[in-house]
Amino acid sequence: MYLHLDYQSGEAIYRQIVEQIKYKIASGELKPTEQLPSIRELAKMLKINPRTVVKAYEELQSGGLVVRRQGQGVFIRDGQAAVPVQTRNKLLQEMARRMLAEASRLGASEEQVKDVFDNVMKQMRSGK
Amino acid sequence: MSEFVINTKNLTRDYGENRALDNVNLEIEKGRVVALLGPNGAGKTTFLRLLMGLIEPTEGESFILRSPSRNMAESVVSKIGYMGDTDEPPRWSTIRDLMKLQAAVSGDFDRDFFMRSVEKRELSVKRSYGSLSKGQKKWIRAGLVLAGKPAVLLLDEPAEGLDPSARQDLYDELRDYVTDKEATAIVATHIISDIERIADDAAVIDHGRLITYAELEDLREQVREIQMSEMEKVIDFPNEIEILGGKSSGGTKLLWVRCREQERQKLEKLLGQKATIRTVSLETFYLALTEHNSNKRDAELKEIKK
Repeated sequence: MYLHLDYQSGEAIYRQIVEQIKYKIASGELKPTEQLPSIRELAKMLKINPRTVVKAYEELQSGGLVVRRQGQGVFIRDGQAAVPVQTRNKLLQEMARRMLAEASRLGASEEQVKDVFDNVMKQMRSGK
Repeated sequence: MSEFVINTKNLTRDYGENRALDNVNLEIEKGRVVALLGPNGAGKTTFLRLLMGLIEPTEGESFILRSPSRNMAESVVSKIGYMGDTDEPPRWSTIRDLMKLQAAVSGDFDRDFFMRSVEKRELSVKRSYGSLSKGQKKWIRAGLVLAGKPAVLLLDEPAEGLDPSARQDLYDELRDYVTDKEATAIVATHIISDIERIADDAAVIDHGRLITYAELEDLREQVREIQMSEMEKVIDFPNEIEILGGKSSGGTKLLWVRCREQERQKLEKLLGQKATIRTVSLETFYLALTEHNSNKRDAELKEIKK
């Protein structure tokens, strides 16, 4: 699991960890039931105090995204829609923004993007 | 008595007329890396030398592992890894000599660790200390300190003169060491960008006084920069909001504040669209604290708040 900490942003480190793990869950990079690195492992990987990792994991746990199993470690929660609606919407918006920026670089109009989008959706549905 | 690894009470030191350290009270828990920050001449070196018992305080006292600095128990001395800013080994001694000396002093010396660190910088143990560059000297001395497996590390500008990648290596080694051994470290430096990555707390000294001692994570959560137009009318800041500093240029006012999240939300409501509130790097925070000395700062702040 690769995390990047940005010290210039002034954002609390535990929050950065929480946000990035949420993102990885939402994007599917981290799968349900998958185990997260141990507190010690992650602390050493990121060169931070283990207590900061504990704080991040606790936040994820109270948000229902991970579960802690006694003596085994911390795991991505299984089943249910683990991704909160807010996070999902935020991610979708980011993806849309990126796609539109890319499209405008290619010289495509908004209408063209919408058409292509609809067509791709139709294709995917009929393919199923 | 105390559960703190290091604590000081009203620690004060004068050099003649000049007060180098002014009434410093500090308590440091086990397992922390404390960045001791401040401009040159702020009192960082004096503070570390007082802790080590190398100089006597004018007033107050300090303890390491409950043992007083003035008369430190032998058993505690052997648990401290001190790297002074100026106290240098003899020029003619080779790296191997220094290693043997350190091994004799520290009882439990990690030779493999030290040899790895020498090889990392592609140095030979036959080299004399005097032939090393400023950065290489620092690297070797830091390696000797860490290999001695101390419980407490007091490092005065350990990364000065090292190139950026070596600085990162040194601080990474220190962080790993503290995490693995549950050691405690104070690192004095005036360069924030390197140390903020691995440190847990910041102690900022200016003109001999401890002006901030806080967890870096708390500072990241609490310190914000407010930007608004010079034209904006002044608002009354709630008392819970600590104003750290401010400046005014080009029709824009910048104000640095510290407050809890609740108060920040109030502030956001109060300011509404009139201002932008954003997070700041530790560097910005530090500059806001130390750029102006206290009197000048108060005067300027009044001006800005008007």
